[in-house]
Amino acid sequence: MASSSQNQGLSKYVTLISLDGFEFVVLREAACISKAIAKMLNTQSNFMEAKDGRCVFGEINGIVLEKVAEYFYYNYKNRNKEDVPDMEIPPELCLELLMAADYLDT
Amino acid sequence: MADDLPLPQLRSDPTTESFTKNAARKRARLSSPPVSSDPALFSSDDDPSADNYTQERRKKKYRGPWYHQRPASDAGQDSEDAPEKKRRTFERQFDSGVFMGSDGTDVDEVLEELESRNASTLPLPLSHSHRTQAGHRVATTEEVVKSQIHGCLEEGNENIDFSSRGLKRLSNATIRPLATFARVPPVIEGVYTRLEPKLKVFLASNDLTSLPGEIFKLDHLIVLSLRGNQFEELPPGIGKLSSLKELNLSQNSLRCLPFEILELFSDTSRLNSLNLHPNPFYQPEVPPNPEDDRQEEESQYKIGLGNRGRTRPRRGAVCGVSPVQRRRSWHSQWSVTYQVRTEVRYLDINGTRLKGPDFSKDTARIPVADVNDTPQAPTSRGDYKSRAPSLLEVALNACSRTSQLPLLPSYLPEDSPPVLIDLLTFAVSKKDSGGSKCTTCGRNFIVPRTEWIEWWEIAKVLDRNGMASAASPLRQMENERDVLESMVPLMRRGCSWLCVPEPVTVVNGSAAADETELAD
Repeated sequence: MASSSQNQGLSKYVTLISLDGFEFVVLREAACISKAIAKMLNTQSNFMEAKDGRCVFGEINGIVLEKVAEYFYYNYKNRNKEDVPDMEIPPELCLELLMAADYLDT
Repeated sequence: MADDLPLPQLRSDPTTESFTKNAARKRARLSSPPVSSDPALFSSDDDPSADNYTQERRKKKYRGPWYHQRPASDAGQDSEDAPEKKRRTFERQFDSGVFMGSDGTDVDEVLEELESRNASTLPLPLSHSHRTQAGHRVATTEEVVKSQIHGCLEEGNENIDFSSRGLKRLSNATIRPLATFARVPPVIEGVYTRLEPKLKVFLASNDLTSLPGEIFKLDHLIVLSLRGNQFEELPPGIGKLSSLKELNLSQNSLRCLPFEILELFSDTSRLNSLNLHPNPFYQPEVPPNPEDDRQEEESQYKIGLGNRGRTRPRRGAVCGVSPVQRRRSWHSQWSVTYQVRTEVRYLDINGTRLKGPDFSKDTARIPVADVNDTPQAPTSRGDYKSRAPSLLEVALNACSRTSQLPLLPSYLPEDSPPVLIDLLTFAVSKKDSGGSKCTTCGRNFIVPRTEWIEWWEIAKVLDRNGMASAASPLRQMENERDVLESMVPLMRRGCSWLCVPEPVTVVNGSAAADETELAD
């Protein structure tokens, strides 16, 4: 997915925008671990998101989306490793992250 | 004033009675401080000497030595019953608001109780309130069990017998006190006995479907009987019971056992007797070898042996030695050999099946995978496969670590997808039964990503000449049923799509048997 989009001259990075206007620029390949984002950015889909590489999430606030972006890099960094360290999540965010994870299908 | 509450009749000493009437003065003179501050009295209250403002009066009544008071309270018993209850309600107002946990209180428990009190004011989804109601009903039988455990602890009775109690659920809190069990030492001079108990827990003939995780923390558990329950699966924690000598799992609805049960056959364990049957275990469906005569092969497999001279029956052509088997050292009393496995079942992040065999309740036989089968994951997310847990798993793990886990489903918004509630309730039951670890990499997980069943032959070695199957350790002769029953299906679960069975060393049936014989 990511390689095909790179071939078409698209940016290596995508921007994730939260409900309260925070923007997170993350690697496209890392973000595409989420099935929902991968579908949004699919160039065949003709979604707005695919054209300008900006995904707006109306249901996820900045604090949660920051953690989501952190996860994308955590997953990307550990993609070929045998011993994967645990990712820490503050307990107050766990329910919101759970819902975000279900929404993003990650 | 004296109308609703009859004053104590102090028959012995008239001076005491006058004392009671002059309460205000009396009170000031007494040096003993009140236990807690009095309830606030406001000028706006309709009547300061209101009927229910009885606390002070009661205090006055009990002034003086106790032996003067006793006859008075006895006399006014009947008429006092009703106001007595009223007074009880005052207790909460006396609370200073400062929380001090006593030694005996578990802070977590108190906090949970407080939480549940708060939560009950929130609008709860229907399913949740139903669950708590069910919990209450069970509590009565559990309380009996609790008091019995307490009794056993007091007496030093090591046989904890809850057979045929109609138990549906056992909670962790009920079992937890057993961990503190200590033997009562006999008082004989010069004789020293170990204080380590040899606990025997009998839970036979109940309606249990799950076990509390605390039971697996009982290091001194020697006998565990779960005969005649409704178990469909055992928690993986069973492998932690390293001092277990007898385990009875017969007459349940078990279709497979957890892979961790193999720990009980390691060289450091003491397991002596194991009852697995009858249970509706999955049976391997071995494809007939096309090179041999089909009919013969099939019947050979069915009756267990082609030639009676062999000590071990042939299982068919599919055979291999799992690396796990090589890595471990087994107890000399048990012969444990890997036989076959099913294909790997791949699960999505929320536990739905994407690929692989169906382990439904209706199928008794599951086709086995080829020896050379290499598991192929379904199309991966992104461009790479990763051992990293999914975000859903990470978040669920964080939820599981909080002490408020059982209440979390009620905090979800009403329009949240039902799968989240299911996942959270799944996490609750997982946490209660002690959690689970990936059988490949050892990582803690909640939602498995891969599943497969391995059949292991577990049999007890009797002597050099022969061996009996786990089903009937005393029988020397092997028959068809024994052969089938010695094949035990073990469920293995992995935490990521890369946690799959390792390739086995391929050997043919007879060579495998010879090799294990040499190993014996």
